[in-house]
Amino acid sequence: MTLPKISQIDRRYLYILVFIFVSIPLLSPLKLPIPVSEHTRRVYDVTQALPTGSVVIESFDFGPATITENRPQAKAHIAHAKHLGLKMVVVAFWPSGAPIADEVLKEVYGADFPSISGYGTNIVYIGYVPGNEVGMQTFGDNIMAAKGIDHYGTQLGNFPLMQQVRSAADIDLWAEWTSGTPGEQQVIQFVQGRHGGSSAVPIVAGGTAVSVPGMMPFYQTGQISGILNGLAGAGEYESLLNVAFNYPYAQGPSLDAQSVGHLLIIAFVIIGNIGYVISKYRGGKSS
Amino acid sequence: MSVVVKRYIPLAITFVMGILMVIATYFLAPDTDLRKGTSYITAAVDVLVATAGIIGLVVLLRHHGLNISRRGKYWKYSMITIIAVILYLLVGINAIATHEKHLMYAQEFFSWVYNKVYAHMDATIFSLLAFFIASAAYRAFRLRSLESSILLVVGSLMLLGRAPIGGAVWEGFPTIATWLLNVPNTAGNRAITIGIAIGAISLAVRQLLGVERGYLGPER
Amino acid sequence: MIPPVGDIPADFSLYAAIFGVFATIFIYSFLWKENPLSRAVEHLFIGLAAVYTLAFMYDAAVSVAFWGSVEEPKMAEGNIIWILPILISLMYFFFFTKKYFYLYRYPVAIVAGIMAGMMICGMIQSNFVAQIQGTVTLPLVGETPEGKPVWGGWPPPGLNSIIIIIGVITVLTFFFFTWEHKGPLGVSTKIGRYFLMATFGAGYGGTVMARISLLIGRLRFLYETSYQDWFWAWYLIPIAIICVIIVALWERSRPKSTPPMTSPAKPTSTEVPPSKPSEEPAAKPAPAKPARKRKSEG
Repeated sequence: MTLPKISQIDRRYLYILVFIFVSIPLLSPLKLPIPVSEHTRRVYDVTQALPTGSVVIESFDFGPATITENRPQAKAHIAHAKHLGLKMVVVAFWPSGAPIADEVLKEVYGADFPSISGYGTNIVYIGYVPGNEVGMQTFGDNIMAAKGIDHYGTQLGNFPLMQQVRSAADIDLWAEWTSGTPGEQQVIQFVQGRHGGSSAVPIVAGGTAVSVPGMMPFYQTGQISGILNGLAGAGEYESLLNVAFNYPYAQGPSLDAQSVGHLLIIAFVIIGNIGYVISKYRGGKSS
Repeated sequence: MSVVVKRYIPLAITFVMGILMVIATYFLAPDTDLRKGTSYITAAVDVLVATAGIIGLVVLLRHHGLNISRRGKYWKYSMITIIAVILYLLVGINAIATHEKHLMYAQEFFSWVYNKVYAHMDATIFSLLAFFIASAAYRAFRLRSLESSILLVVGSLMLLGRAPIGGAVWEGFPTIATWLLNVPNTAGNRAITIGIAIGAISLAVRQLLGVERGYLGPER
Repeated sequence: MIPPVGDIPADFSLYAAIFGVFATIFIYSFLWKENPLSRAVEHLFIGLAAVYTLAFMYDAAVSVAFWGSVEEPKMAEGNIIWILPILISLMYFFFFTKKYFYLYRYPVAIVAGIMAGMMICGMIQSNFVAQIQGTVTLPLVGETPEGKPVWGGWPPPGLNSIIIIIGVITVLTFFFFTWEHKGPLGVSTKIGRYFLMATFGAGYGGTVMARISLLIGRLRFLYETSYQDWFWAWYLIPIAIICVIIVALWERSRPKSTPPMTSPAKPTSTEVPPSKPSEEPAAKPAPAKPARKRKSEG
C-alpha cells in the first residue's frame, strides 16, 4: 500500500484499530501516574473548606450517554461531602438523571437507602424537578413550590432539612454535574444571579470534556469555583480522595485507556496528513 | 375577531408573561411575597415545559403506526418499536398502580428497566461517536492553512496534556494544556459567550414585542 | 467456570447483563455494515425512549401540580387551582387539528413569554455584565502576600491578562459584520481568527477526550461486568459477533423484494424514517441498478 493510499484507508479498519487499542489498557492497565490539575484541586479545596453541617445541592443533570464521565464525578463528590459531614439535597433537572442519582446514592449510603438514619436530617433526595431552566429558577426561589414530594413520595415538609433549606439563599454550595442544558450556565443565570452572586451561591461543576472549555470564562470570573474536566477530572478527584480517606480509585484503567486513545488519534492525524502532503506533492509534480 | 384570537391574544400572553418575569426580577426585592408569588407561576409553567414533548411522541407513534399499516420500508422494525412501547407502557401502568404516590419514574421496576435496558443502548449509541471522530481525525483533519494548523496543534497539545501519558512523557504538557484552557480558550469563549448573550437578549426582546413569531407555528 | 444448570439463579440482573452485551455488540456491528440486528436494537431503543419521555411528562404533572406539602398545598391538599396547568398543557393536543390549531399556541405563548423574560434577566447579568467585568478587572500586575504590586519577573505578571483582553476584543471584532474587515479592523479580525482557532482547538481536544471516554465506559461494561463471579459479560462477545455474521449473511442471501411504496404515492404523512443518524454506509452508490435494495435491505 503506497503512502498516499494510506490516507484513504477504509474507515472500518480504523474502527477496529480504535477498538483494539483502547481495549488493551483496560485488560492490562499501565498504571500511569496522574497529575492533578488546578481546576480539580479547586473543587477539592472549596468542598474541604466547608464547615460541618453546611448544605450542598448535588444536581444530577446528565443522562446515560455521558454516564462514564459524570457519574464518577458525582459519586466522588457525594462521598466527599458525606465524609465531611455536610448536609445534602440531591436533585435532578434532567429526567434521566433521577434513576442514576438513585443508584449512586444506594452505592454510597448502602442498598437500604433511603431507609437509613439521617435521611431527612442529613440528606434528602428530591428526585426529578421538571421544567428545565424554569424549574431551576423555581427551585432556587422556592423549593417546595417546585416539587412537594421527594423521589420516593414523602412530603418534603416532613423533613427537618427541608425546613432549613427553603431556597438557594439557604445553601452553601451548588455542585452541578452536567453534560448539556440545563447545566452550569443555567444555574449561574437563573439561580446564582438571583440570590446574591458567586459569594452567596458558590458553584462547583463537573462536565464532560466537551463542555469544559465553554465553562472557562465563568471559572475565570469566579462564577464557577472549580471544575472537574471529564473522566480525567473524575480520576484526579478520586486520587485526591484516595489520599484523604481511602476512597477507592477506580478510574486508573480508564485513564490509561484514554491516554492510549489520545495517542492513537494524534497518530491518525499525523499519518493522514503525511499521506495528504505526499499525494499533494506527487499530484503537483506530475502536472 | 378570529385574527385576534388566533394571533394577537397569544402574542399578548407572551408579552405579559415576559414582562412579569422582568418586573419580578428587577423591581421586586428577593424576600417579598410578590416575588415569591412568581415562583408559583414558574412552577405552573414547569408542567407546561415538561409536557411539551407530547407532540413529538404522538408524531413518532403515528409515523410508525402508518409505516406498519402501509407495509412501508422497515415496517417489521416499526413493529418492534410499537411492541416495545406497549410493553414498557404496561410496566409504567403497573408502576402507577403500585407506587404509593402513583409516580412512574420513581417506581423501582420501571427505574430498573430504564437503568438496565434503556441506559445501555443510549450509552452505546452515543459511544459510536468515538469511532467517527477517529475516522474524521484520519481522513478529514488536514493542515491546509495557518488557521487549521493552530487548531490541530492546540488540539493535540490538549490531548497530550489532559491524559496521564502527557505528564509521564514531559511534565510541561499538563501545564501547557492548563494554560491553553485558562488563557486563549477563555478569551475566545468569553467573546463567544458575550455574542451569544447579545443575540439571545435581542431575540427575547423581539419575541416579547411580537416581532418574532416563529414560535407560534404555521398559519393554518 | 460453567455452573451446573440447577444453580442458575432466576435473577433479572443476569438477564440485564446478557441483554446489555448483545445490545452493545449489535449496535457496534452497525459500524461495519448496517444489518437487521442493529436496526432492531435501534427501533427497540426508540420505543423505550418514547415511553420514558411519556413517563417524565406524567411525573412532572403529578409531582408539581398534584402532590404538595403542608407549607405549599397542591391539588392533593385541596388547592384545586393547580389543575389549571394540567388543563392548559392538554391544549398541546390541538396541534393535530386544523380547525382549532390556534389553541395550541396558548401554552406555547405562555412558555415562550416566561422563557424570554427569564433569558433577558439571566443572560444580562451572568453572560454579559459579569463577563465584561471579569475582563476589565483582570490584574495587570502581580501582588505580594502583603498586597504590594509586583511589576517585574518572568513571565510578566500581567501577561496572561493582556492576552485575554486582546483575545476578547479581537474575537468580538471578528463578529462585526457591519463593516468590511479592512485596515485596522482587518488586522484585529485576523488576530481574532487565530484566537478562535485556538478556542476551537481546545474544543476539539475536549471533544476527542469525551468521545473516547464514552467508548471506555462501554468497554469497561463489556470487560468487567460479572454476575456473582461466575458469569462474565465478555464471554458473550464472540457469540454476539457470530449472531451478527449469521444474520448479515442470511439477509444477503434473501431475494430482493421491492417494497409496496409504488402503489398509493399518497400524501407524505410524515417525513423521515427513523434511525436516520449516520447513514453513510447505507445510502450508498447504487450506480446503474434501480434496484437500490442491493445495499440497503428492506
